[in-house]
Amino acid sequence: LHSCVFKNVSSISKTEKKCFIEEIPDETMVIGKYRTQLWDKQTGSFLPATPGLGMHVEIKDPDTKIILSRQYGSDGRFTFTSHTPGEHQICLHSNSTKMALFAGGKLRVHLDIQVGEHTNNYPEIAAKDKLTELQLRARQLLDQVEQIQKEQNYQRYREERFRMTSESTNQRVLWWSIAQTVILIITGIWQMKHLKSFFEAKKLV
Amino acid sequence: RLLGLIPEVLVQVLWAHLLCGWAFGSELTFELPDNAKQCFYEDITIGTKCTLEFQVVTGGHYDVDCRLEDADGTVLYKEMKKQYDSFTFTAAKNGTYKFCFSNEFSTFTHKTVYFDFQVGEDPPLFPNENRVTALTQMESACVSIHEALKSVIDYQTHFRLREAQGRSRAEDLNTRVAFWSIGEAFILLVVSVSQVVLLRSFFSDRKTTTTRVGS
Repeated sequence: LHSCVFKNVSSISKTEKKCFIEEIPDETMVIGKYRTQLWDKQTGSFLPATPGLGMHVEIKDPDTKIILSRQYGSDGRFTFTSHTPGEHQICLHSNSTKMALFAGGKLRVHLDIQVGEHTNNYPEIAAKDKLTELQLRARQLLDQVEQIQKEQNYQRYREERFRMTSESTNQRVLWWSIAQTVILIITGIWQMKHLKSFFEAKKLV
Repeated sequence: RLLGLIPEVLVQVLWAHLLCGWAFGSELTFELPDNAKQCFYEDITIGTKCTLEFQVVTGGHYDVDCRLEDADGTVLYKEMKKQYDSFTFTAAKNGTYKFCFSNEFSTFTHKTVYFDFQVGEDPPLFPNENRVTALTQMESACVSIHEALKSVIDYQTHFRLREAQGRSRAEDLNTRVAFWSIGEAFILLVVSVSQVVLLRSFFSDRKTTTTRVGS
């Protein structure tokens, strides 16, 4: 079909959530596909999983608001488009209703996350819009340049945040230094005055 | 760590890669908790040129242990406490390769790790077409622009990671400055007041002693 970009994840226990972070600019499309396989002790290999072995997919945007939370079957596909630039979190955890998974069993998940221009299926686009090879290549280059532009816009937004954080730190350091010096002087003066009046009262001075 | 409510079944969920068609590349960012190890599996055919690149984005001293093993368990690459590295190799055997990231040396900082595992070349634009004639000038210009843009995107990714690193350090510094300033002001007040109280207590005792001796 189209190019597969699969990802690896490691072994986890059945009900544990596995999360991946995708830092993307806004208006970027992300397609995720997964396929599960169950370890079969008899044949000693991974076989396609039985129905009832589902995965729950939860996607959070940079403001930790849930934008997608759905239960899928043993094979599933999810899509979302980012409306805020930043770190999106894609979490998956297996949610089996049947006792298909016995103790010591292994579940293998093939996961595929495609971002931005990788979501385009060029042979399909060529067939739909009836493009020649050169036109298709030009289209691919245009998509790539668009992705670069979006990333650069996102970079500008991030740099602004960084600059605000640095300036806030600078301000805080400045004001707290002044405040601490003032506190120091005031407590010094207070100590001297208090002790002086104390000793005078005790007739030691 | 078990998070769910079903206690009796402990199942190992192996997430795996799948070799599909020509080749692929995959990049992933995940969080590695303290004292944890995360492994990834890859099915690679013999003779494929692969590149593994990783970078620690946030956490502690920004370092992680990385280990790459081939299908028989032979260690191809092993580095401890590295911040960033890139390793290219040609697969000598068929099978499932495994690479692991370990944060077991860290007691309380969890790290965010980015990795990019490229296997083979990119799939062609027209997978069904057999390339018989050579590319025209326009087509080869397009191909070279495509490769250049790919490397631009790659540089952008690395820049984004470095910027994320710098920004997370700056935000840490900001909160730390706030807490330390408040804490220090508080300590200052407490110390100065207790100094005065302590001094007063010394002189109070001596006064009583002097009075007793006097009479």
